[in-house]
This record gives sequence, structure tokens and C-alpha cells, in this order.
Amino acid sequence: MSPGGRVLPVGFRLGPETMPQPVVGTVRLGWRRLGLGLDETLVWDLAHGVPGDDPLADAERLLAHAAAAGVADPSAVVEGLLARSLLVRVPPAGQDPAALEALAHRLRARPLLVGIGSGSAPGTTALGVPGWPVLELPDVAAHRWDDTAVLPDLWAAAEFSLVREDGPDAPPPTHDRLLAATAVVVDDLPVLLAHHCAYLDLATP
Amino acid sequence: MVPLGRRLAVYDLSREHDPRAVQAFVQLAGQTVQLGGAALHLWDAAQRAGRGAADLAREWGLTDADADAGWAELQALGVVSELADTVDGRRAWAAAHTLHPLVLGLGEVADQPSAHHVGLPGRPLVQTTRAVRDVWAWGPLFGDLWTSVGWHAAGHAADGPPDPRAADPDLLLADVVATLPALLQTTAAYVDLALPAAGAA
Repeated sequence: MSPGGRVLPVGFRLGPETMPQPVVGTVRLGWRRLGLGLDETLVWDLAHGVPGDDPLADAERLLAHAAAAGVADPSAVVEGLLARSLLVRVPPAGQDPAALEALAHRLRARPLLVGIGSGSAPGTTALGVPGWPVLELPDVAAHRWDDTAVLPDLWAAAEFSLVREDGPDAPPPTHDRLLAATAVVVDDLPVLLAHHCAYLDLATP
Repeated sequence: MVPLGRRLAVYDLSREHDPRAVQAFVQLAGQTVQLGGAALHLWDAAQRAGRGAADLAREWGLTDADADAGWAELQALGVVSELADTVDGRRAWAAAHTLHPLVLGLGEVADQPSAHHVGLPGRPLVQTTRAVRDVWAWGPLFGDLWTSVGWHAAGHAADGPPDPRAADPDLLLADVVATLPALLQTTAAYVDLALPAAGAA
């Protein structure tokens, strides 16, 4: 795979199944139920993030984790998951805006877990289950996530984030501002995915 | 009594915990709804105890008057719904609501291929049938739960046995409703309103 950029996992985890046929992992991707082999499951799970990692680390980190987990050819597995739309490539910041826009139209984020309330640090909001916080976000990111989680795709989430920022009567934002807002929305995702506070799904299932 | 919506935040504004001073925000049909303290505690209690919610809320410090006001607030805001556990009651309720997962599928229970766990890695929260798990996992794609159950039941019927309960929409819905308290109590799911133009989303 080409260097640079990140990959994010897409789909809702169903887990291992023996019916209708044995698979190590199963994922709901839109309407479809996709079975994964051992290496695919390992890489897809690792793509959600590893505790202690920089959530914005690039795909090279995923390849290293996969190799350490015993995956013989991590690049080939990643390419296979990209081809099945179970991973999506996020272009490096400021590069390939057309790819970022296409990704934002193609995907939506859905919520997992719930909001708990104030985090332990001032100006943060805790997510998790009541009595068991798993993630603290700056309030502004938490509020943006509340909106993103119910909007039909990531582009719409970016548009709405600018409505929040500019007010409903402001003139439409420029395309460049929308792209910048999309990058912010997409950058919110890795930490949410890593803590199982969100999953990505197809905007058109 | 089924609480509706996904909890966004709860803030305790009192120096010493007073349930009436709590403010909460719940997301329902994409909108943020603010609940007062009594309403939040009843909504929370309904997640844990369903019809026994008022008793639980009193244990948490609400008076009868608080509970009455809290119920009135919940009903005025539309963040609770009554589910009559009869065939017609379940159908009507399912047609008006959607079901959404809040945790992951953890796969089959060991040596029980028809049973699945849902929860977080290393932390199974609820055991369901495979058919109920599917209704839960595919829930966000449908505009209402009755359409969802019908779609899944038709799929199971086309596949034939081994699970005749999964192939009958009313029986499948009865199983979903029977599992709902456990899903809500553990924050494994939330219930939202049906989309205005119900059907597949």
C-alpha cells in the first residue's frame, strides 16, 4: 500500500460465527453481512486503534501492529479490506481534497455508548456507559459528535458544523471551508472508533 | 414504559446530590431534548425497571409529586412510550419506533451457535438469539421496527428451518420485546421514533 495517510475501519462488528458458515469475524456493512478470515479480523480490529497509540497515526502503524500480531502480509490484508470497503483510506492533511470529499459523501458515522456528562477535566464531556466513562472529549468536539452521529453522511456533518459555527442565517460557506470542516469531522473519528463510541457505515447502505 | 432517545449528557447542579437539580440532554429523532431532574430520573429508572420505574425513582429521592411532574414532563416531551405486550400492541409500538445498537456484537456464545453476546470487548452484556441480534444490528437501516422484523422474518422463512420463531414476524417481534429490557438496562440499545416515511432508511 502507498505510504502516508490513515485507514479507518468501516462497518458494525458482529463477531465470530459458525452459522451459516464458520468465520472468525463478521461485519455488517450497510445491508450486507461480510465474513472475515483470521488475518482480516485481526487487521480490521487493529484498525480501530490500539490503546496508547496516537489516534491520528498513519497506516504504517497499523501495518506494524498487524505484523506484530502475526499477520504474514499486512499490506495485502489491508489492500483486501480496502477493496471490500471494510477499510477506507483517509488522505493526509491537505492532500487530495477530492478523495476526502468523496469519502465524506460515502460514509456516515453512527453512535455507540452514550454521553455521561462533565469529564474529570474542565471543559470536557465524558462518553461511555453510566458509571463507566471510556473517553473524555473537549466539549466542542463532543457537541460536534452529537450532531455528526445523526447526520446522513460526513459531508452533511461538516456542513452542519459550520451552521453551528456561523449561525443559520450566515451565507453558505465556501468549498474550501467545507473541506476544512470535513477534515475536522474526520479527525474526530479515530478516537471515537478506538473507544467504541462510534462506528462508520455506508451513507447509502 | 419504554424510554426513548439516546442520552447525551447529565449534569448534577446541586452541591449535595438532589435529584431535582439534575439537568439532562437526550437525543430523540435527531433533536436534543432537555429533561429536568425528576424527568431524567424517571427516564433512567424506566431503562432499568420499565413499569417499576416510579418505585425506583422514589428510592432515588423523588417524592410522589416529583414523580407525577416528571411523568408529565416525559410525556409532554414524547421521550417515553407505552408498549402493550400483546400481538397488536407490539405491532403498533414497533411500527412507531426504531431500535439502535449502542454496543458491539461479540459473536456466538461458545457451543451455542444460535445464541449471541452483545457488549464490549471482554465485557458481554446481553445474550440474545441470532435472530434478535440481527434485528438489533440492522436496526438503524430501517425506518421502523415492524418493517425491520418483517424483513428479517422473510429472510429466515426463505432460508427455512432451523428457527421457526425467527421466520414469523410476530414471534420474532415478541422475542425482540422480551429482550428489550436487558438491552436498555445495559445501555446495549436505545429506542427512537420511526422515521416520518417509515420503511427501509
